[in-house]
Amino acid sequence: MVYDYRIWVRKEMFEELVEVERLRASLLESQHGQEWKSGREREELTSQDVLSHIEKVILEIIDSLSKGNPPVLLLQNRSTWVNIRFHNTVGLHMSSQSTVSVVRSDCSSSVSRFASTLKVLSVIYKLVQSNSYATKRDIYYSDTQLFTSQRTVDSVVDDISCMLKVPRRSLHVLATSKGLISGDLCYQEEDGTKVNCSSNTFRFFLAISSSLTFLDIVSSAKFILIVEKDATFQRLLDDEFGTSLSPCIMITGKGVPDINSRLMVRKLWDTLQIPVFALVDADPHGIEIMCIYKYGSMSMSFDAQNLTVPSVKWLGLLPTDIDRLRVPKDALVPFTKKDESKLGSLRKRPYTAVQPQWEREMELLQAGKRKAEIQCLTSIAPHFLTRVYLPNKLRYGGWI
Amino acid sequence: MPSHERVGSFLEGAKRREIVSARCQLLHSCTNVPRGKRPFCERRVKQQIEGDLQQMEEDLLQMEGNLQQMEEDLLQAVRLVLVQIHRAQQWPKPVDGGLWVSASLQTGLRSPHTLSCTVAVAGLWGSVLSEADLQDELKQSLASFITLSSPGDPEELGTFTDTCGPLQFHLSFQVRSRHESGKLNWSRVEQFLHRLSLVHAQVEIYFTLKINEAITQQVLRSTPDCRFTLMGCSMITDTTSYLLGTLPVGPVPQCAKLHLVPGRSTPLQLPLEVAEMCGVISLLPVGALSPCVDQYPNQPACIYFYPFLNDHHIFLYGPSNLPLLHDDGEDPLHFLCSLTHFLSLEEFGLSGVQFIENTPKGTVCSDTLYTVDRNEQGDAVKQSLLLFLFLQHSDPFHCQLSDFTDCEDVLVQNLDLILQHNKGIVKSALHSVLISTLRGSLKRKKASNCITAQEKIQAALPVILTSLSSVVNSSSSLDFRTACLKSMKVENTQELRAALQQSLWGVVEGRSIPSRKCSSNKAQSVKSRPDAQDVMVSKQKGKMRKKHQSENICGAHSCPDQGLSVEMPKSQTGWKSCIHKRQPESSSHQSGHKQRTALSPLQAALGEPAAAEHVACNTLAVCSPEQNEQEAATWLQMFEWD
Repeated sequence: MVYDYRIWVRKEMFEELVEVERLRASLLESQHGQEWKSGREREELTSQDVLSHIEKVILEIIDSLSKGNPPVLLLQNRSTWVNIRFHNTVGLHMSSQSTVSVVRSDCSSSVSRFASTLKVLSVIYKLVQSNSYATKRDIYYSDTQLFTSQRTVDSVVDDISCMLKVPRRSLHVLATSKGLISGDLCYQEEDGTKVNCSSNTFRFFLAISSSLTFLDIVSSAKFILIVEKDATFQRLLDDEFGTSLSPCIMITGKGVPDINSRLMVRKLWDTLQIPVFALVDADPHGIEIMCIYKYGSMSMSFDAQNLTVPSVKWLGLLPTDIDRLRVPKDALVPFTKKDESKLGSLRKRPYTAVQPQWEREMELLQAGKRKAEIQCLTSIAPHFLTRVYLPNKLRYGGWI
Repeated sequence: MPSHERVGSFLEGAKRREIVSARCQLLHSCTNVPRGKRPFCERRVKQQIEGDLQQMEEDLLQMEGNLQQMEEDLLQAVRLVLVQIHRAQQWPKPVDGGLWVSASLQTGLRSPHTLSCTVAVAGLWGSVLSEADLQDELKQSLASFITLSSPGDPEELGTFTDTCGPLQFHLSFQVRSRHESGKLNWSRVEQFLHRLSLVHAQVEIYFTLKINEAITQQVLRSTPDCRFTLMGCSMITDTTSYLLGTLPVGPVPQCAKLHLVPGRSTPLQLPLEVAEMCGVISLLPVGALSPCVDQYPNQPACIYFYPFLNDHHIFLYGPSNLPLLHDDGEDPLHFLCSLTHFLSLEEFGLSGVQFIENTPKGTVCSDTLYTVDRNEQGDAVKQSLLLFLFLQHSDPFHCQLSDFTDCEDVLVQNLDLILQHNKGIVKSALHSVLISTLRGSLKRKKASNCITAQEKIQAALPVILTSLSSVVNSSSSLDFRTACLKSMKVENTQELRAALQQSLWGVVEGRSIPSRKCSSNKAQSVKSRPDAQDVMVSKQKGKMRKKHQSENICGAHSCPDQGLSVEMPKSQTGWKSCIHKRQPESSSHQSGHKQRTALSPLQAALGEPAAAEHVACNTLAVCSPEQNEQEAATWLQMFEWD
C-alpha cells in the first residue's frame, strides 16, 4: 500500500508538457492522408506464404540444375546507395528496381555463401512449417563449420528476408535483443506473459523482447525517449527522470540499434501515437544513430516500413546547445578524420535535404570541428541533464 | 625407338647382313666339297666370321670418332650461322625465315660410306648473313678430314627455299669412310634444334636425316598466334612444343598456351678469373607454368586450388639465344643444381624440391630438372614450372664473327663461375620472376587463408544438396514436390537426391572462366589425337615438301588402333616427323607401320601401347638389335644342322 501511495503521489506531481502535447496533435494530424500504410494496416504474411516463397526459390534452383546450369541466388544489393530511395514518410527504402548481386554455386568465393543461404532457408522452412522459433545463435550452432561466425548467419537471415520480401519475424528467426526499455508501459506477450516495464521499483528496465508480438499495450506515457547510450540511460534511471517530470518510456539500443529495438520503437509509435524524441551525442555518430531510428539504414532498407519512425525528433544534444549552454571547451572533443568523413557522408544523405534545421546543426558541427557527448553537460552541473536540460527542452519545445 | 638407336641398329644390321651374305657363299662352297672335307670347311668359315667381326669392331671405333666430329661440326655450323644472324639483325621485331639442317648417310657393300651434312638458311631472317665471312669461319672450324661438297639434293633445297624464302646461305660438307658406325647418335642435334626452335618461333626449322633410302624429316614451326616476342627473340607459347610429358586429362580441355612471365634483365659482374673478357653480361629470367589451368578453377585437378608443381625445368640460353647443352657425361652447371639451396622455394609452397640427374624419357631435355616431393591429390593436374635463363652479352668494340664466338665460348666455359660470383643478384632476379609466375596461385592461397578453394567447394556441395533435399522431402505441397520431381525427371525423392547430386557436381566442377589469353581448343585437339606426333613410314619418295604437302603426307595415314587421323591442324606447332622410304616394290600395308623417335615422346604418356608394337618389318626397314641377333642365331642353327 505504501508503494501505491508513492506512485499516486508522483503521478500527481507530473506536470503537463504543453509543447509535447502540441507536437503529438500535429503528428496525429499529419498521419491523415499518408500514402504509406501504418503498421497495423499492413497485411501480415501467413506461414503458407512464407513456405511458398521458399519453395519458389528451391524450384528455381532445381530447374537450373536440370538444365545443366549452375544455380545462382539473386540477392538485392543492400550495400549500395544506388538501390536506396527516400520518402519523407517512410525513410530509406529499397528501390523496386534495385541491382542484384549474384551468389554463384560454382565459384569458390561464393559457394560457401550459397550453401549457407540454402542451409538457413531449409531451417526456416522447417521452423515455419512447425510454427516454432529459433534464434540466430541456434542456427549458427547448427553448423558452425559452415557459417564460421555469427555474423554470417545475421547477414544470411537478412539476405533471405530481403530476397523473399518477408520480415524477419515472419521467418521465425529471433535475435537476442541488446536494447533496454523502461517506463510507463505494460503489455502482454504472445505466450501470455504479462510485462510491466515500470514494475515496482524506480530503477527498473527490461531487455526488449525478441518475440515482438505484443497484445494489450497499455501506457500513459506522454512521449518516448530514445537514448543513444546505455550510460546515459542508466543515468536517467538513477535520476528518476521517467517518474519525475512526466510519464514516459525510455529506450536504448546501446549504440547502433538492433532490429528489435527499432521494431519496439516502431510498435510503440504505431500503438501509442506519442512523440518520439532522441537524445544522442552531438557528434556524427550520434546523429547517424538517430537517423537509423528515424529513417532506417541502408542494409535494412527493404524492411523500412516496419522499422522506421519518421516522426522522431532530435531533442539533444544539439550542436547549438553547446554554445548556448557555454559548455566548457575542455569538455569538447576534437573531430577525428573519421568524424569529418562521417559528417560529410551524413550531409549528402537524401534525408538531410528535407531537414534544414538538422543541416544547420551539422554545418555548425562541421565548422566547430568539435563534438560533445551527453556527459559533457555534467561539467556544467552534476544533474544538469535530468533537472535542467531535458525538462526545459520538453517544456519549451527545444527539439528539431 | 630413338632415331640414333634406329640408325645404329640399321648400320649394325647392314653389317651383319653383309657377313651373313659372305657366310652363305662360304656355305655354298662347303656343300660342293666332299663330305669328308666338310669339317675343314666349317672351321674355315668360323675363322672367317670371327675375323670379320673383330675387324668390324675396330672399324666401328674409328668411324665413331669421325662421325661424332661430324655431328659437332654440324652443330658448330648452325651455331655460327645463328651467332652472325643474331649479331647482325637490325629489325625491331623478329622476321620469318627458315633453317635447314640435313644429314645423309650412304652405305654400300663395296663402295665407301659417305656422310654428308648441309646447313642452309632462307628468308628475310637470314638476309643479314655475310656468306664470305661465314664460309671462312666455317672452313677453319671444320675438322681436317671433312671436305666441302655441293648440296646433296638440290631439289630438296629448292623446295626449302620455295617454302621459306630466298636462299641466303648454304654449306655442305662430307666425310667418306669404308666403315660404318654402330653408334651414330643424332639425338644431340635433335635436342639442340628443338631447344633452338623454342626461342626462334619465327624460324621454320627442318631437320632431315637420310639413311640410304629412308628419310626422317622433322619440321619445327609455329603459328604467329603462338609466339611471344622478348628482347629480340620470339618464343613459342604452344605448350605442346615443349614436350612436357602427359597432358592433363580431365572432363574439360586445358589451355594449350604457355603464359610466359618475363623477369628483369640483371647485369652480372665478371669475376677476376675471366677478367680478360670484355663487354656487358646480363641475365634475363623468364618463368612460366604449364599447363595453364586458370580457365577451370573448379576442376579437382587444378593448381588454381592446390598449388603444387611437379617438375621444374630450367632452360639455359647463351648469347645469341643459343641453347647451352652440356655434353653427354658432362655434369650440368653446379650452380643450377644447387638452386634449391639458396632459393627459398618453401615460400612459394614448394617443399622437398630435389635435383634429378636424368631427364625422364619422352620429355624435353632441359638443362636442369627438379622434382617436388609433395603429398598430392591423386587426380590433380601436375604443373611444371619452366624457367628460361637468357644470358646476354654485348661488346661494342668487337665486330668480327670470331670475336663474338670466342667471347661466347669463354662465357660458356666460365658460366658456373660467373653465376656463383653473382649468386646474390641471380637469386634476387630468380626470386622476383618466381613471385610473378606463381603470383596467381599464391594470391589465391593467401586469400583463402590456407583453406583451398577446392576444399571450400567440396565442403559446400553436400550442404547445398542436403538443404535442397530437406525442403523437398519435408514439403507438404504436392504441386511443389511434383514440379521438382518432374524437373529432374525422376520418380521419387531418393532418385531426386541422386540426380541433384550428379547434376550439381557436374556443373560446379565443369565451370570455366572465359579468358582472353587462354586457348583450350588447341589442347583439346591435341588430346584427341594422341598419335599426333607419330613418325610415319611411307613408301613415297622422300622429299622435303611444302607445309601443306607435308601435312597431307601425314594426314594420308590414319592410326589403325584408334581410327584417328594424324593430320596436324594448321594451328598446331611443334615437331612434325615423317619417315619416307624409297622402296622399289609396292607394299600395301605400310601405312600401318609406325616407329617412334626421340621426338615423339608423348606417345607412351598418352597411352597407345598397341602402336608401340607396330614396328616396321620391311626387308629394308630398320631392325632392332634383338632382331639382328635372332637373324644371326637362325643362320648359325642352319649352319650347325648342316
